[in-house]
Amino acid sequence: MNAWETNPLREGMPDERTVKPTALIIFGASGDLTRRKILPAIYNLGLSRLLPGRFALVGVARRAKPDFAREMKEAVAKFSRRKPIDEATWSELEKGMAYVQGEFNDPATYTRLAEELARLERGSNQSRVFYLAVAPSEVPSIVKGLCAAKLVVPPSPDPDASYQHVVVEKPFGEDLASARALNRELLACLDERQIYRIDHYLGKETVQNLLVFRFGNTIFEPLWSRNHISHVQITVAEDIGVEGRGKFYEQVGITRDIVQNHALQILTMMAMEPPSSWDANAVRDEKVKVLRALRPIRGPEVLERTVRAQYRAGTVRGDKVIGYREEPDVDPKSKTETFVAMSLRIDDFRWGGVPFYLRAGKRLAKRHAEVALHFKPLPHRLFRDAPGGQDEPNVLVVRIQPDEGISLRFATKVPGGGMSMRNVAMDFRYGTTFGSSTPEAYERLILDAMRADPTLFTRADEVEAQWGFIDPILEAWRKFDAPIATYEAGSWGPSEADQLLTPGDSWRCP
Amino acid sequence: MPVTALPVKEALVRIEAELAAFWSAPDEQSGQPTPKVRSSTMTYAVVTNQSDIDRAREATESIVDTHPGRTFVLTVDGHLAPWELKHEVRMACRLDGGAQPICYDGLELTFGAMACDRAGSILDALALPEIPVVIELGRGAPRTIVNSIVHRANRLIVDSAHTTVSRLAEVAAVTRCPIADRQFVRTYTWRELMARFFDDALLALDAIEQVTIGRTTGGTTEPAALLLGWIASRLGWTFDAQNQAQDRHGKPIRLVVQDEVIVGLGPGEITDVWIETRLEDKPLSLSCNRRRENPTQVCWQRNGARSSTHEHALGRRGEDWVLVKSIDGTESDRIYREVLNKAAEWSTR
Repeated sequence: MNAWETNPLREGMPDERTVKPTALIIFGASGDLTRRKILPAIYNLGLSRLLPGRFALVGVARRAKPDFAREMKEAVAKFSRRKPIDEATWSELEKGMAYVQGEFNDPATYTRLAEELARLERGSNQSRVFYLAVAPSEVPSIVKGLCAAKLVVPPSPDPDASYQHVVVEKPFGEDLASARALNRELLACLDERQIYRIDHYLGKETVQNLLVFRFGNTIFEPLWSRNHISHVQITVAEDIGVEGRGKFYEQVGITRDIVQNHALQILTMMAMEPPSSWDANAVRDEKVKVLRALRPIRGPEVLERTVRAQYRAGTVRGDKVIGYREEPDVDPKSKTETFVAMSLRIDDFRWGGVPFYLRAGKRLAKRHAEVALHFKPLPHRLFRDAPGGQDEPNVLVVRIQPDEGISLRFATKVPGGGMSMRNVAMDFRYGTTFGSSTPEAYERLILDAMRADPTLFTRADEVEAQWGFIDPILEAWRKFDAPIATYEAGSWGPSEADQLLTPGDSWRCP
Repeated sequence: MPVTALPVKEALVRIEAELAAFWSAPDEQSGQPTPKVRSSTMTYAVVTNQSDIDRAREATESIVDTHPGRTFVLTVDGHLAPWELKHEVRMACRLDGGAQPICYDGLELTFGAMACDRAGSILDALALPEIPVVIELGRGAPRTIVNSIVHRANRLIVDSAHTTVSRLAEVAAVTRCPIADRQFVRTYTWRELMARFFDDALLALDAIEQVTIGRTTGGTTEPAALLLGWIASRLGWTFDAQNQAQDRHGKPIRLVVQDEVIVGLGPGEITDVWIETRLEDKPLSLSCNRRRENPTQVCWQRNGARSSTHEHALGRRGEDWVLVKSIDGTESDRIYREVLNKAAEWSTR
């Protein structure tokens, strides 16, 4: 417990208000992520009065930015969830703002950064969060530069001491070997406690609520196992295409872009055992156990348990769109997947024998992410002859985005004489219940990095376990030249994905 | 729906029939009959004075889209026959993104003088099952209605800007439910900025010598009471008089409440806080002052043993926001009763 937590005047105030004076340093400050996500998140934290006093913000990038603050203000005005911009909040933020131009591998850049920080921090406790919004290849040189300049020092056991945290954006490596290499390079300079690998999905309210829903209620957890659940479907669907990033996407594909991180995060939080406490390591230990219990898919089995595909031309949300291979900078013979479906198994006592169907894709019918738990059918169909009494099992759906919420489908009797049945849904919607504009995932995660709470960040062994599962699939696709199916843009994916399901089951069309 | 005055029992039957007729009929807005869905997160009831009924209506209207499945506005009218209940039932549906109609209903109940003490049983009969009942005590809330329904609240919302802390302490004594005070929400920024003085100077908390609170005059209640009650409850102070407290070690602390005038600022608003204390044997002066030229901004300053200055927006975002925070923000629940009791203690010194 540190001094900030023992101030008796803070009792009864939200605990996120206990951030020490901190400097946030953004490497890659001229990039899109900074403009679209990081700065709007910082501004909204300021507007919610969650930033500490003497907050400093320093941008670092190669390009000259003589008017960094003005550019950032324009970005905030455009991308903030709350508009119009509050001048007082912005002006307070602007006071602590600075920009350092320089190459990331040039020691002089770090000297200038140290000077700016000394000027802005004015002898305060030098707690710093370094946000690396840069390409993965640039991460090692930045970390080396920070350590060489002593801008990052080993963490102290004293909880009141200043800290230096380094936030690393995804993708964290492109396979297991590169993820391990990156971890090695980071850990050569930093302690694991200083590394905050960000996956913005974990900052989403509904993803966090998955744990509250499971472990904060008594009624669901007893049902949450092979005894009651027939199968689980995880969907991460996007309606957008590659958005002019064909060159990047050709190197990545949806499996690296979405499945290795977001989809596996959802899977682990859905399937994990209850942690012993709400402590960062206790939670992450349980997530890693799920990844280790995932039955590997290797060799020819990959062709039976996965389907990869690309979108063809079609219509999405009323717009005619081109196919993936017609996108700029995409090889007309490309084999990069824009859709993947997998049939997974978790080999543990809770989930033994329960299929987990996972799919992710671009240019699908709509933007939608959810986990759907399909319960087992009735052991005896008492109402099989009743109108509407077909054997539709109960389904519990956790909607992650958009329209965040939870719904439970169950059968009811239609009022009146006789015995007719109909499925209805009990629906909880975040927007309807809590109304106010939900904080962006980046707001929550940046605040957590400043509060030294890594619970919602990915640990080294977790990243390696994720790649350890994904790597053999990518390798088998390559080795066996796995066929690449196609699907019409605006559909829910290729018909080949249906073959992954147990006969009688079907993919949801949310 | 028509406004009707009937004896209480008959009025209840009529209300139930009107509600049943509404809920059993499908919604036709989309062009085809669609079953109505209720947004059922709470029953919300405001008790208020006749003269303030428009404000109570606004409060219910401001949150119907997101919070309650049923709202009540409860008041008394001396012009009604004493045993009568006048009621008006309002229902509405909205199409949520063109999908399912989400509906709610609102009841405005005006009691005759003798019927007031039956408000609790009416609320019992009409509150939605299985979801919490949130009751707000509006301006001039009639005592008889409050006393009749307060036991039914799962959460009580009060406003010490218009109801004295002594009266609120009386109400708090007869219910164990959590209480939220709109004024406590409005003054959150003041409290947070005051707490911030001490984040890295905890020892200064035990060396406070004087607290001065500036406020505009003309408020219905004394705005300084809540802030002083809050500090006292957190730091274990007792009040000897309105101008003197003792800290937990028995050391005297001078308290000053002073009138300030700021153009454009309404009555009963906090304008400034000054705290004199010591840290590391040096004086430490803390101040948080509204900008006279822009009273929505404050200048936060420390001088002496620690030294820094910041500008802050006061960050209040209208009464709708204050109400939603009072309903959803539960962090201060565990301390508010202590604050209220201390504020009442100061008021009676």
